[in-house]
Amino acid sequence: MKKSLLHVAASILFLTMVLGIFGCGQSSETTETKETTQNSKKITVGFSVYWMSEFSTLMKQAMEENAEKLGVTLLVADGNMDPQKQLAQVENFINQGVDAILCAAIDRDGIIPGVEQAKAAGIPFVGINMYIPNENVTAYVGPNDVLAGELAAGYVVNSLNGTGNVIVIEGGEGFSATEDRRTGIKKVLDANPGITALAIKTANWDRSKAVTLMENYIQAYGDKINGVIAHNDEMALGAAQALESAGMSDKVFIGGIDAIKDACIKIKAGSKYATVFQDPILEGTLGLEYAARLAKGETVDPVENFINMELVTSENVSLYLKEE
Amino acid sequence: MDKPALLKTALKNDKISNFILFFVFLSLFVFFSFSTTSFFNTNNFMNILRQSAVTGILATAMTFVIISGGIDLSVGSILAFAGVILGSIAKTGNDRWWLGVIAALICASLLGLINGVLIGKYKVVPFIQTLAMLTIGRGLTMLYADGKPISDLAQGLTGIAKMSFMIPVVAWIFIITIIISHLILYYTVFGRSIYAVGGNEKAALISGIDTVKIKIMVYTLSGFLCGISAVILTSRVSSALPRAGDGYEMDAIAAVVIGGASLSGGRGNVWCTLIGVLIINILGNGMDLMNINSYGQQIIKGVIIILAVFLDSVKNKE
Repeated sequence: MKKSLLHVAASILFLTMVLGIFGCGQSSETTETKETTQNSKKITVGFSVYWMSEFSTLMKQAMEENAEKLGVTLLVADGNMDPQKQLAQVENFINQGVDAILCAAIDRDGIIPGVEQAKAAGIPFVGINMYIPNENVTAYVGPNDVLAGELAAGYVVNSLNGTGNVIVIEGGEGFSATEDRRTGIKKVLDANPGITALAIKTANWDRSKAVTLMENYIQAYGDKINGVIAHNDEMALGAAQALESAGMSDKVFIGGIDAIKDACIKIKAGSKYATVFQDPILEGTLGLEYAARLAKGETVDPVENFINMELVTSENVSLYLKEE
Repeated sequence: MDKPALLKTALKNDKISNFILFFVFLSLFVFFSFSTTSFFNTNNFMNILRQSAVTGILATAMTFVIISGGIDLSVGSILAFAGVILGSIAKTGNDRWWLGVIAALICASLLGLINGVLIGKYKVVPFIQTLAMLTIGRGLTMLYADGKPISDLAQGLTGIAKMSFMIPVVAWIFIITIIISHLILYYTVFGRSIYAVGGNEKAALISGIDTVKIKIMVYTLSGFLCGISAVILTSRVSSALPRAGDGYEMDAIAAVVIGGASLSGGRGNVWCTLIGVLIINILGNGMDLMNINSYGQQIIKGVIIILAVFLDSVKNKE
């Protein structure tokens, strides 16, 4: 009987140990940073990110590499695609008394209460990657998504010489990227009356969902499809996969956005595919720099920094495809 | 009568298992207070209360259902549906935004009622019925909102989450929900009947309890509480998101189980669920403050659930 009581005690002990393991990793890290803070005042920046995608991971790495140089202790929180969770993270940052908040918002409306609380607490709030249309946002660093949409659509439309039918695959609702890329694509389609959009639908940024969607469209429209414009490479690659299975890959032009590695490889292999490059390293570095400067009470210029976008085709792909 | 006999009798006494629950809660509290400087302050406690309200009220709903011997997987979807109904009515400039609140509560209760009727009257297994409602509810939400978030909500609605009397109004709503639920469970015929139905349905039936009616009422109440949760969540993020509440049923079930309720029904109470909710939220909050990544958080949450279920299985071995 005493044994069983021991079991309970052991379970509680185990729990404390698990907490301890994660806790210890943390405390050693903080002591490390404390040592380097002796001479100058250390700034703490809280970074809440929608989720750890390939892109945001690169952005975070760039921040971590530059943190020490800028005298910044970086706290990272993964919002896991839950707007309420992200809001809680921002509230926690405010409560911790961070000197600046960097936020790649999951929902441009859902994050507003956090923006307002930061404003009330006098903490600079810098939007990164996802644009937040609110006057209380201190600064923004991110892609020019309208331009990205224009470039991706432009590639497809130009390749078709201004006549043909396209499918547009959109990102998730609520994201600034979806809204802005949609605007850019619409601008190009409106300027080219010879192009007809057969279907416009979301695949939620997801490659496998885009495969299913494209399979269905191939079933519905078949040879009528001349081009695909997708809000990101994941979905564009999903569409490419479906087209390949249907034996249509050499007839259809595909435009994606983000220039992820898989997409660059595809372009290098000679597919009828182009993407738009958005630099995560530049974005992460600049974002953290903005946050650090605002935390020190300095100003930033421009307050809304839209990073330039570049079209990646077979001609310049080698610049973007880093060999390992 | 071998080795765990004493422990079993010890745990049979709910006071001791409640003590262990409270001990875990307290250890976490002390642990975070000492390991991170920003945990132990009023502001953060207000944060924890605010952050607990949504899942807390869902967990309260789940407590009723689990005591009755069932399960409700559809709470997250019902919450999302009520949220978009609310959002579509309570738009900016609508002085009568509270009509949206009423509509949301009615719609949520209605989905709960459908669950209740099919489970109570037509004997559909609760797991299957509410699983079906999980996908139906989400589908209705997406269809109604066209998959898009509804923003530009009335100031009166978004103001709820900003108001505070000593503690945030949102937390008051949560606390009042807990108190009323406790009163229902302990001091009304309906409440005592829920325990009877969950403990032994046949016996309840023989002793004259209308088990069908009780089940219908339990699931309708669960839906209604999802509606209240929806109002809080919508106000908190100041937009109605069709993706809202995705996976929240799991947090609600976890809180109830950590609180010591038995999944086989007949046992549990809302105070223990409250501690369960606080344990989950303090874990999340404390580990965020310590900057532990979310993967570690998931593991620790799982370990606590196993610990709770282990205690439960020892209790029920007899």
